Amino acid sequence: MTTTITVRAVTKRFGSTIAVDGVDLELRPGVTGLLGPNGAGKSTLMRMLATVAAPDRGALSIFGHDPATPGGRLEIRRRLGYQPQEPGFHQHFSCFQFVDYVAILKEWTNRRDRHDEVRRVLALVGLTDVSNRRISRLSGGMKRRLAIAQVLLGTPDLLVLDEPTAGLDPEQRLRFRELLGSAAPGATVLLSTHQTDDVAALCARVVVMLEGSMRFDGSPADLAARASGRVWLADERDPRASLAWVGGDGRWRNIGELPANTTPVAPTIEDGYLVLAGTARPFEESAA
Amino acid sequence: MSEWHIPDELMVGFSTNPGDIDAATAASIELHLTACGECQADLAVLARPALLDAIWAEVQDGVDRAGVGFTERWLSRLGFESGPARLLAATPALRLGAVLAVALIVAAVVMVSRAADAGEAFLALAPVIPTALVGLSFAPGADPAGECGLATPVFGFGLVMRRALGIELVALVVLAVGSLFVPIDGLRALGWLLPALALSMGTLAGGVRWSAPATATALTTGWVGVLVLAQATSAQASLIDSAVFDVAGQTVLAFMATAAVFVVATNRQVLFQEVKR
Repeated sequence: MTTTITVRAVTKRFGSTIAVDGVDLELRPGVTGLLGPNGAGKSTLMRMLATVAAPDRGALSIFGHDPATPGGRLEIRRRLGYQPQEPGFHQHFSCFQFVDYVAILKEWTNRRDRHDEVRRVLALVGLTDVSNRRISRLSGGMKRRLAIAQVLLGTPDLLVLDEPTAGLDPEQRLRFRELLGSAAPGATVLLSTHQTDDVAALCARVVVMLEGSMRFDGSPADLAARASGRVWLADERDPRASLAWVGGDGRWRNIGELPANTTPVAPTIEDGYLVLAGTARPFEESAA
Repeated sequence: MSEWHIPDELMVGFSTNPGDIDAATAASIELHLTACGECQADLAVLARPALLDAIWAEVQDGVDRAGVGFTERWLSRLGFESGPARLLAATPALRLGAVLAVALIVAAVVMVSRAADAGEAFLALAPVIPTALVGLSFAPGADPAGECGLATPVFGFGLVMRRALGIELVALVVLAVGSLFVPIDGLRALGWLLPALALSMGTLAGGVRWSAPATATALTTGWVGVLVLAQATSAQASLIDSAVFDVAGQTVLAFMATAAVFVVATNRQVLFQEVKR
């Protein structure tokens, strides 16, 4: 399968802070989930892949083009759909006008074709009924869907989505998953999220970033396997657990070194992520 | 009844784009249609969707135009296509409220000049207004769409510069109107124009290589310094009579404006590069 994105030893600093530290990554068509805590460098990496920020060191190649050159950047942007973590809007525009505006910026010059495309993507995200409503009067979830609509213009080959499901209610998140599966067939999708169930539902591959570096690259099942033999259920919080919480069934889910005479349960992606991220440390250690 | 019927291809053409068919053929078709019920029925089937499509397209256009703002409406009336009109109308500084704010600032400067009976206040401050607006048009956040817009092929120095020129034009028109009311006689009331062009075009030229907002700040500071120096060294009591606003000074400013335009024009290759912030 063709490699869409090649990232080689990419580093990005903000003052003395290293946001992205020597990252290597290759992306191919399909949905890749990007997990990591706040400040791990996910958004910075995505901004570089979306051509809105440049690395300080290292090399990027997207569709075989170098985003550091004007021509390369132009070719990449022609095939890119990008949703930033905090999308901006012209609040005085209606939904239709805003997506139309982005469509103009995406070189849709024929008015009738452009308007048809705008209506299509607004329908995909379920905003047809409010297409003439001012953005300032939309709810947070509607604004998120509007941001997703502009990403889908022209059915791009590369979708860079920074926390697209933040602010969506459970039903909208399910619709988003359905949409991503159907609206971008064959595309390369990089999806940053804090929702591990989104990763489980959507991604064939997951990458975990911690403190600016890649710490895991594999399948969701492989990530879950990181917690294999380290998760057990109990009626009370086990003091030997590094991390524990009460599940919907009222039982405690404990993560840590499995005590003797305890039967482990099948780990989830979230368990694997927590073990990898080191969150599953004793509270005393975390506090220290 | 004739055994011959209008071929499908011709019938589709006649029903959808009758103007594309030559007059003789169209007349033959019409004559045949008056006598052939079968072709009449075919035409009815074909023509109805075409008519419906046309009506639907008109309705959609009407809906799409709903809520178009003041700036975009006027740009359309001036002959701009919908795309460029939307791109310019998306410029915050070109919205009605922003233009009125500029008009109010200019009015305030005019009133101060009139109250003090000192036209030099207007000549000194007027060039700063378009310069600041041009600089701000390159500032981060100048386009509320932010990175949604930035990651598109059209966004770049060229678009921002076109917006900056639009802002510049509006500011110059407002200032020109304001200059009619300042207490300066004749063409000397337009003494602000060349400094305004030199500073604002200098800001654009600076944006080719450096940050335009920083260039605007530096040029404005330089302008204030020149005025202070001119006032301090001039034998004349009024700034209007200083070297800055005499023929020599205005010639230098005209040269600077021309040089800035030349720099921008000869660096067209950067028009599609990332905006420097």
